[in-house]
Amino acid sequence: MEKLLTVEGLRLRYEGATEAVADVSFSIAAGSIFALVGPNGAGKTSILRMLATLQAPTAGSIRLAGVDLVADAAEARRRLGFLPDNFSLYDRMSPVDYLDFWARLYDIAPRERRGRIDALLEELGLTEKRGASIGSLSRGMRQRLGLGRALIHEPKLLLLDEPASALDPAARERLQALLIRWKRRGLAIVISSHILPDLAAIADAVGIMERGRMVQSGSISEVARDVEGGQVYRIELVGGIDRARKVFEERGVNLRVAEPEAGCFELPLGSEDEVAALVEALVLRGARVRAVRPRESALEAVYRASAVAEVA
Amino acid sequence: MQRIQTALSAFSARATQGRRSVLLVYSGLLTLALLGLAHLIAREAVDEVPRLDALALADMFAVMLLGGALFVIAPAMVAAQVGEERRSGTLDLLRTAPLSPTALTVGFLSGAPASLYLVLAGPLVLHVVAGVSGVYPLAVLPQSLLVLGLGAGAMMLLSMLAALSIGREGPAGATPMLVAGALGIAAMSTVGMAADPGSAPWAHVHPAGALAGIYCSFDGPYQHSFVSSWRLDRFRDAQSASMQLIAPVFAGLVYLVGSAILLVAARRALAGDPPSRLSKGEAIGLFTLATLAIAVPLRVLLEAGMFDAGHLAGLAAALVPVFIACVIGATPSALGYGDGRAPRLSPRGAPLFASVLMLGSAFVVLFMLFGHAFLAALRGRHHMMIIASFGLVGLTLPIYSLFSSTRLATAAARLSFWAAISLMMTLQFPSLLTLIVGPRSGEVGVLLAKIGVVIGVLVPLITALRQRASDRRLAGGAV
Repeated sequence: MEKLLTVEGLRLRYEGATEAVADVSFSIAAGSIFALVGPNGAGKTSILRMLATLQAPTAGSIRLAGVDLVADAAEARRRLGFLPDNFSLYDRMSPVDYLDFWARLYDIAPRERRGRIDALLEELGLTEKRGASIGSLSRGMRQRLGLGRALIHEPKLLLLDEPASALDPAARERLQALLIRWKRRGLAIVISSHILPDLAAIADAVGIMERGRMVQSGSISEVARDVEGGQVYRIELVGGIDRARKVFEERGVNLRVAEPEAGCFELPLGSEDEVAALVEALVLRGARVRAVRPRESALEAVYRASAVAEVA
Repeated sequence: MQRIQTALSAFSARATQGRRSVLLVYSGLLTLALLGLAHLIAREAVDEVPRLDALALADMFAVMLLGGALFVIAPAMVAAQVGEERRSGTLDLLRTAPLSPTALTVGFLSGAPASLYLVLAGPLVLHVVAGVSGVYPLAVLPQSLLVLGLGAGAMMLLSMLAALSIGREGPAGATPMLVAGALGIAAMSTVGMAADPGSAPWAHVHPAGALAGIYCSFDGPYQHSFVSSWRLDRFRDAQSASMQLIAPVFAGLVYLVGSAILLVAARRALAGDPPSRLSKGEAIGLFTLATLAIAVPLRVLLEAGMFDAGHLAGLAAALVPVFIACVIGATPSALGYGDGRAPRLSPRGAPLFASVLMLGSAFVVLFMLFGHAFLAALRGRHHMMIIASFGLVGLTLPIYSLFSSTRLATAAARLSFWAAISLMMTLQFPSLLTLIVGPRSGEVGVLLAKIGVVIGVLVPLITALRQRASDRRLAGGAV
């Protein structure tokens, strides 16, 4: 698939300081979500600010739909939308005036402007609040309005920095649904977040950042395959527990948690094929399997493994 | 150009959306009030001031209102808007829009005071109508419009740069008040100067003074109200008349060049976080321009035989704050300064060498304008030594500026540091004068003066040594 965004050898060094971003490369296709994960200070926000043209890289190249972001920032800005962490809105304006202001900044013709604003407010569930003061909106509504601002000019790439922080579960769910809908329409999204289960549900690819470097990147399934020890699964049995233990011993499985009296075992498995083979062996040996479920998402497994590797 | 139009349209619509008609009604009511007030005063004063024209009086009120609004209130509004957008982070969002830094600057200058512009539309129309109907000489109209337009632009750019210079976590809320206060004091001072023939040539350094100067130059209600009758003859001599003719154009030129330099600096500050607000070249250019603006009128006074030591002190007093502002503007931030190894004239370099060039360029300007006459005037009265001493004290400013920006992290620490340094420097000047001009208070006075000079040498020396040690530590860390 043709790549919409290509980042190569990206570096950012502040004068007299260590490198905030060191030799980062990745690419994203249209209609996909790329998750940037990592601890605070890992360089995620620096990468997003460079992609948003707010910070010039010290070295490297960024191309968005054929446009060089550094050489032609003004043109690139027409193709990207950015929602930073802890963003502010103009509290005294109404949502419709706010979106109108931004639509004017992007030179959208008056008739088209009205249509787009109405459609966006409808999609974001803000039609009823179109004339209200922004200061009176809830956190979730403000978040959606911020997304509307980033999308008013119909960009090809959406950059989101911790968009779900401080949102309640219902608002997070709504945000996920919106992101999946926009992804299906062909929008490429780069998202940085600490909420890994949410990211795992929507992201196609991941880049794990640690001290300015991208220590792992690729599709989640690809990266998960490389995780040492694999993803942790929880297996629950209703009978044949001793037989199951024998199967685990024979296969050399490294049990993380074993509660035989409760019929629960937690163990890392490398792939879904391995899960299927283990379940088959358990059933053939007479163990009665009630449930097999991942103890953590693939993304959490990848992140855990990377963090462990870094510490080591 | 299209991006500038886009910014103009978007920012002004944002500021006045749904309120345009109301604001225009206010503007009309305000104009009617000015006319009514002028009519009332003209009718009451008809016995004391014969031929007092109500329209001329209304025009005078309108111009005073326009000057106050455009030179003081509008810049404060720009500073408030830019400071708030910067503090809340919305400025970063605006920087992701497809606008050039120039377009964004124009957007702020047109949008932040957009409601004020609408309210001022009526008084502006009144001023134009008065000019066309002949209540004042026709030449006054283009002159006043030039000063209003260029002066407002320069003042707003200056305040915008001030708002962009205060740290994100600094006292951003105080910036508009500081801007309004500083510009208001400058406006009142120069308006007062415009009514005195001795100081009138300098009134043009601030657009409010320039505007007052224009209205002092012809026989009208402003001249009758603000110029003492015994000074009127001196206002009407040939020398003053020629000066008054070229002064608005000269002032307009100064505002234009100043605006161009400030625009370049504002553009850079809006495009990202530059190492320093002014490049070394911009700082030198602004200071040279200020020297020209303040010194050119001295030549007129010199030729008119009105030059005295007071004018020289005035020149120094006017240039000191400009010098301080330029030095601070050219000083890099701690992040920009890095390990202190950048070239001296780069934006990341220490400001000392640039300060030497600033002072040097000022002396070149003064020498070119006054040549031997200036030197002769200095020689007789210790002025050269006084200026040299002030210059040496001035050269300690870049040391303090660099120290505060690279070694002191919080706004409170910087303010305290500058307050202490200002107090020390204020105490330096009497010490220097005592030693140069001669003791007037006996041996104790001379002893105190010497102690003052020793302190004045030691404090910058210790500051410079601490800065040097810090640079070495940083350079060592970087290696």
